[in-house]
Amino acid sequence: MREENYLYFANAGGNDTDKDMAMFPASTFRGAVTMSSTTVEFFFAPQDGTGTTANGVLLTHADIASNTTSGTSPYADDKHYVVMEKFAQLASGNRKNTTNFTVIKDLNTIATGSTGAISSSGISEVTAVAITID
Amino acid sequence: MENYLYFRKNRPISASVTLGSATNTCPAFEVSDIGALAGNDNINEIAAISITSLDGGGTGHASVLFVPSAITPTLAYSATALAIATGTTHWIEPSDQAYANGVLTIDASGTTGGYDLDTGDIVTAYWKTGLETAFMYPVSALKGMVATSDTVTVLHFASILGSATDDTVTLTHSGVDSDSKGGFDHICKVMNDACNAYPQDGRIISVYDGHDGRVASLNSNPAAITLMEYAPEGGAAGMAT
Repeated sequence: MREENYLYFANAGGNDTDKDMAMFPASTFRGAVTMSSTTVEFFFAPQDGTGTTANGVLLTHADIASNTTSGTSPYADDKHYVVMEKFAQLASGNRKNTTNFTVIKDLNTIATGSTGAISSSGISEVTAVAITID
Repeated sequence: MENYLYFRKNRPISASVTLGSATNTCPAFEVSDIGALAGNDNINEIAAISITSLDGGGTGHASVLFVPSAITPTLAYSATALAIATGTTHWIEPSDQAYANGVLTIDASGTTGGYDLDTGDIVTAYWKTGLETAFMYPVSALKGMVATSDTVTVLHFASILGSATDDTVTLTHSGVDSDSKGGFDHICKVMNDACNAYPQDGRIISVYDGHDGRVASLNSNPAAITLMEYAPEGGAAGMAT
């Protein structure tokens, strides 16, 4: 059994339209970059196998509080760092003899019945998910 | 399971310029403060702009002024022009101004958010964390590093977007000491520590964080890094897919 960790993302849709959700093996993670003071995008090797155009998952969070010049900690209120740190923890959480299915963020609240999020809602600081797969 | 290497440019940070003549085109900010000027033109990354008047000018110098209690991402602006007195500081809305290659051009008074600069006025801008200012790579993406001079080291990472051109992180640091060792030696050791720490876990490791001038490099910044430039895809093309 391959000890791969699978990372799950879902937006606030109902998992019923194109790119409402996506899952990537953690080993395909290429890097993450801030796009603004409220967004950070996580890039993965493309699922179509071309290797030339990365797939991206743009996560939105609260504005980075340390934009205030009186900020005292490099990290305490830096939401982008918190999101990156929690992603690192989750992406590295695979262990032997477990399912290694990891919800990074699941915002699906439209699921029928009482199911809601697929297993957990994921990183609490994330408020929106946008998936780009060319 | 691996570590993730985190970097942040010198953001947030503030920098000031002093007007040498009565023009609304400010002198360029210093590279040592904000990094490379070429392509540094995203006004959205400037959270606030303040102007300290050398010798006043009354209401004729500004059209929209405001007095925030703190510099935050959500400044409150007044639509009422206030008199500018000698030595007073006023704030203008960044989105009303133009910014290209490290040069601010302030709208003239009479337009929304405008202000007529004068000789000796001090313009201070506050940059925040924004597009491509903070990023992280899995350790496996690190291809290597090379010293391009005694004070500059370039880290090469596999391209995030997938082109044949590496993403690069350029660090400016201390030079060679009397033992013929210098910043590059220290950076090699720092990167080794960052890549191989926590072998049973896999964590985020902050290699360099230029937060507000308070550099927080791994191992207390032994290479004395003062500046970091980030070039995804070997250029400033933007990461958005």
